[in-house]
Amino acid sequence: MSIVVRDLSYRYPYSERDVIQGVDLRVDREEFVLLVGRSGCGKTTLARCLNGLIPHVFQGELRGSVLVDGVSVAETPVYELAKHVGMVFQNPDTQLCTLTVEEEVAFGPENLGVERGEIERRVNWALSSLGIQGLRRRATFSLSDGEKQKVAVASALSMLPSILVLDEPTANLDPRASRMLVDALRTLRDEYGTTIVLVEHRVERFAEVVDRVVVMASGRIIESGSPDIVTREAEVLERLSVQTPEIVEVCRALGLTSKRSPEELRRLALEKLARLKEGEAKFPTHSTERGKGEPILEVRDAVYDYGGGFTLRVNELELYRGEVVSIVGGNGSGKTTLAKLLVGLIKPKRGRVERAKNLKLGMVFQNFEVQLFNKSVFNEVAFQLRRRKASPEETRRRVNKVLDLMGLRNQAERHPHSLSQGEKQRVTLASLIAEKPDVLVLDEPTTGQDWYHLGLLVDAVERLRKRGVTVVLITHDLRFAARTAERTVILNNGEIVEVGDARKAFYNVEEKTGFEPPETVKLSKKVGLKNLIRPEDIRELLEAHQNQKSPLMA
Amino acid sequence: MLRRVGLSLDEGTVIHRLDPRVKLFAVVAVSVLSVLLSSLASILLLLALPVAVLVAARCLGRASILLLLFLAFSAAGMVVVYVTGIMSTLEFAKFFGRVFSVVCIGLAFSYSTSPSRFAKALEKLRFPRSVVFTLTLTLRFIPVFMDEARDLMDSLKVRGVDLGLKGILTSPRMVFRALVIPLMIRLTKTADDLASALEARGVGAPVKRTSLHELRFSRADVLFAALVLFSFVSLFLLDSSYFSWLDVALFWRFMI
Repeated sequence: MSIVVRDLSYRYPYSERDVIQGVDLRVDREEFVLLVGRSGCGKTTLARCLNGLIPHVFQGELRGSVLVDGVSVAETPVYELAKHVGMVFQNPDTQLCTLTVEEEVAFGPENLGVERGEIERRVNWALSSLGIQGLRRRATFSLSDGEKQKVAVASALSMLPSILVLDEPTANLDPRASRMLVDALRTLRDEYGTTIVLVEHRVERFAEVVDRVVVMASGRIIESGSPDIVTREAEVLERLSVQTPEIVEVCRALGLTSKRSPEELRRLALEKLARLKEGEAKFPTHSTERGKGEPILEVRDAVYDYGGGFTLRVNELELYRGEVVSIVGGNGSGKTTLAKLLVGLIKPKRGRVERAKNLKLGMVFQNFEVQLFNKSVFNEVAFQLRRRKASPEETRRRVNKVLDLMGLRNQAERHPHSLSQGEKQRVTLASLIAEKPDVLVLDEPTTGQDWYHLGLLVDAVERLRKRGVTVVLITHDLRFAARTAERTVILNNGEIVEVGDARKAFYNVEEKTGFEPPETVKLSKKVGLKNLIRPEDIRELLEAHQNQKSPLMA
Repeated sequence: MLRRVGLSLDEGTVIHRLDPRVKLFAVVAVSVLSVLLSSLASILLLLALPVAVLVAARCLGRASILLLLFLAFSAAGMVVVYVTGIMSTLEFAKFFGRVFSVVCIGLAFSYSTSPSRFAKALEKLRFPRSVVFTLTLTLRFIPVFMDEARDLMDSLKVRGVDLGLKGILTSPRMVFRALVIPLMIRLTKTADDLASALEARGVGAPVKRTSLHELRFSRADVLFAALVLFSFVSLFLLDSSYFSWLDVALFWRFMI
């Protein structure tokens, strides 16, 4: 046994309830475990218990026991535990503490007083086991986020732990970088027998590479089993706000049972889709090409140089009233720069950005919590109205309306920073909506949001669109983009490589960016269907087909 | 980003590979000499050393803008001194030569020394570990906080907080709160994360820390130190014996 957790409960200082309650967990040697659960379920806390941050750094009340490699965590200092458990955290920037990659990887062994030749060997091994020898001489700050996370893993490895615990290591990474990180972890497990515990709130992409999935909810372990449970038990997991794999939604749309393994589901879905294709199912022509009218924002031949040799070039881009546009691309592709250009935070070096008269713009940043600075949620939303000297009744009326819209009425008197991440994000959104903006830009709104909060976000975007607000979603979460956007802009290396109807764009996304497209697109591409980008599309297709009274659907 | 702060990250030339302690020695030697020397001729000779180091480190190009600015400023000063006669132009030239040599050697040092080697040198020189590590962390986090600061300003601008002079003058309390609250939240979070990360990396283990690259004096270091020492002694001796005569011979016209 690598990790044995027995009847573990923990309460943070100044807190009234146990964050984890009576947790029992066993992880075998060389096992790769995925620990999932919605935000606030206690998974991060459990991870902290495994490497001794609890109870040695975070005080509080701990009951029960944790043994790693046969060593009792509560009775062993953290630096000693570091030889058994390596820890990788979510934020790539705040866990690297030296100036070059080599120093970073050598840092742990140096602190433990390891002899020089041995450090050299460990650095070599750690770098090569992740395939990043080429980064050795680089400065840490010059790395991409994906590279930083790999360096963080290598730095943990150089202390030769037999266990690696990673707390949402891919939260800030684009699909390509996270895939590479997860593949590297898999290699570590396979070739060096490292035991790995990966903490995540998403299951897609991860469930396929692990040996076991452990599900947490409200501080307890609810379920534990083979990775198949993410599809077999999808209904249960969905109630616990754990992400539902898209293949499950596809099968539901096709009227298939989802109580099978992902591979079987994929095979069944493909069969049914192929039959639909043979039946020459006609996809109902959508009214995406609506009467667009005049664009409210136009970018023409704009060039912006954002340092380090990166340049953003936008030859042509228009935004129309009341549409949802997604801007997709990897880390460093220039998405945020484009957003700032649209909102007017930066001016293009050449070219122009033209906005309709009196156009009001708003933007929710990726670090949205820096946008909150008032004492209560109500004041936060009322901030601008009060500055413009709106009457108290008018202010109250409008603020309450916005709070209702965002489902925040009950939190009106809370301090914004005491809320959960998902709520904070909605407060930020509410504070901007109170201004009745014409264009709202959301920068990576899905980062760190669990399935439940993601659903709320999708609803909010839809409601805004209905009110005639143009919503621009900057994201690398293609599934989210497909669920919400009508038009898509694909960015790669600072250039727009595709712009247009989301239904077409998503079929090119793989060639243009190297990102894995959403399941629906992958499956329909395989059978030669077009224009299907989300499970609902498949449902519509099926319904249209049934209305044609096709004999196939018997 | 670090380049803008004036610290080097590559190890290109002999000068880059020198032990930072030896380079620090050169900085100290030049600074002391710049004060000790009294004749213009010897000060001009002294200038040759830092300039030579800059050239050898291939940093003259990067330093040129700063140095040219300095030269222009001095030339202007010289004109003022000459026209107004508030001090002897010879004395002014000496003053300029002293400062210029210190600036040059300082630039040569910072352009050719990577922060990590600098930190190692400080550690070797028995600076407390906590001080040296804080320095490293600070340098590491400059780029992170630059990004954070930019994000903070941008995101507040979007919420209609005027961070310009006008905004600060009309509603100082609001601007203060809008900046300070998010900043504190972010800083606390970063500090928390960093503390966890450091603990997990064995900081605080009660053992003697080791180092992957121990600093050792190489032959080049010894040669360089000898060169600096030789220049120091010979300039000092020449200055007090021969050079004041040379000054009279060369610059008698400027002496009052």
